[in-house]
Amino acid sequence: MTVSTPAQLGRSTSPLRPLSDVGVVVWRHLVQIRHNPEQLIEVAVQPVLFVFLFGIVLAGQMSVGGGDYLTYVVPGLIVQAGVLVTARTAIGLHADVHGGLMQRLQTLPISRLAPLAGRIVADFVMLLWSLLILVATATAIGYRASVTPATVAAVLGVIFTFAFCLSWPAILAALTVRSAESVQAIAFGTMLPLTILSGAFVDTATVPQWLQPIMRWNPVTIATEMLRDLIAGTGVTGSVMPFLLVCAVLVIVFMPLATRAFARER
Amino acid sequence: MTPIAIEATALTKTFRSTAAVTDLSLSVPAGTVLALLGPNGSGKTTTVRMLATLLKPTSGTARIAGLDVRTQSREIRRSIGLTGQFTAIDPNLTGRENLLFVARLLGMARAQARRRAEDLLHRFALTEASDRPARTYSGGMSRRLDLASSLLGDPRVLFLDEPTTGLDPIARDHLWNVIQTHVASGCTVLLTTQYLEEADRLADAVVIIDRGRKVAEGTPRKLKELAGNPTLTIRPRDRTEVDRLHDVLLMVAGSESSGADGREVSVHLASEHIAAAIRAVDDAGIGIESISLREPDLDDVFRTLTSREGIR
Repeated sequence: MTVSTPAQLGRSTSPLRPLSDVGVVVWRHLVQIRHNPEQLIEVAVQPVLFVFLFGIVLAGQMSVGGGDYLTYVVPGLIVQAGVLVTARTAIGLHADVHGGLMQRLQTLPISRLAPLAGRIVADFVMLLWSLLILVATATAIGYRASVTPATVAAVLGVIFTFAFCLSWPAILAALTVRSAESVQAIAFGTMLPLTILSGAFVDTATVPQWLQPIMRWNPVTIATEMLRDLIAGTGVTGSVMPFLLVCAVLVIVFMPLATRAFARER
Repeated sequence: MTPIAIEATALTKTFRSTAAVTDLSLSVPAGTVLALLGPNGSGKTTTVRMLATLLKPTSGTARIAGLDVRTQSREIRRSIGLTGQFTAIDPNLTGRENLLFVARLLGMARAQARRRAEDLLHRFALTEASDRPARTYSGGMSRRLDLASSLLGDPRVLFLDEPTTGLDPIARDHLWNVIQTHVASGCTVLLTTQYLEEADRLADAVVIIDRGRKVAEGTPRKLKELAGNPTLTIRPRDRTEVDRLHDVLLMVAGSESSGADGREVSVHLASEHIAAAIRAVDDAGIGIESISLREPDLDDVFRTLTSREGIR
């Protein structure tokens, strides 16, 4: 048994191997857009609808301390897009695990986490696409922000960090729940309250007293405030610490649980 | 001496308090096919998952191509292929893309992956459908694509977990041919199946397991011998003569088990006594409508060994 197989001969042992494995998984997720271009529309519909809803339909009813409501709500919508992308990650991961594909991937000589990492990166590409649509729609109805490229990079950094941290509880749910329907139910059952009971669309000071602490400590509120400060250019000294704290808590609590659930024997 | 490709010693897997596999030992010489035969829930899949490094054994050892499944799983993954019970393909990728995906993860360079994918698409008669998303494939085509992707790395050891479950007879036959062709090229195969016909057709050796334990092993031929004599079934022209026919046949067959269902009588009979039995029936003046003789099959072995009815 000393015959080398072609696969072995062709195998590189470069230290960048894990990265190229992740790249291959990203390719898997993105190449299918070619056969399923409606995915791009699916992802774009939500931001367009919400920009219209809050920017035009509800804008007249909303007052936020005299400021322009569209300017106020766009950071909230950006955060909402980041929340929604984690549902995509969870539902897709669940399908891989409960179909046979994850089993096949686990018999391949790749890092165990490569399939997970590749999926997250691919979903971030979709998030970027939905953010582009969001900002384009908002601009079309009058949104103006004078930002530098550095600010844009910072905004993207914040939203990707937030989505990354929030995807761990989503991944944990996807790996613990049996049926695909339950994953959807959990995803929307948590995301809706998370975005509605937040400062993404309203000023938390305007809600009843008892609700205020809940809304203020909602991670969505904290991420939105971080983005508002960034975009307004007013300095982030007040919002950066809570943001980092929320992200750290999400990762510290859920990442070990999720990776353990991922490595668990099924 | 032929090297041993798959070797398991006292392999045991316990989930919480349930024993899925108990004390199972296997030895598969390189280049041969072993069928692991057993009903649903008998521990076949658990065994395959342990051997394919997907599950850690609770106790016991297993070696694949000489490598330990506990400590050398990464090396083993370079030389095995697995086709599980659930089709392991991405329905949104085309057939070709599915193969390229796995080939690239196996570490092949782009050009090599492309060549290998073309080669397998051709061998599995999928070239024509190769640019269609796999979700449009029939059950048989999906299975073939699945098997093709488990062969991408040219594995020395291939695990097939119920490869033809749910396929229609034509698709099954096609898949059998594909597997046989591949085995002829020197690969070692461990196959699990509930179909006795499949084990008979593909395997050099059969291990029968039930409730996680090995209950018998041998070549398909040896196991058939274990099942005993062929079954002779005679249907009399006149249904009222069934009882008399039964008596006559019992005299020839001696104490061998027999059965009558009101229309026909069956006895297990050594081949050399068959002519005598038919002569005796004729001498008794019983008109014969039909005679059938069935060689014992693995089903009989199964029934004897597991004493469970209705497994087929």
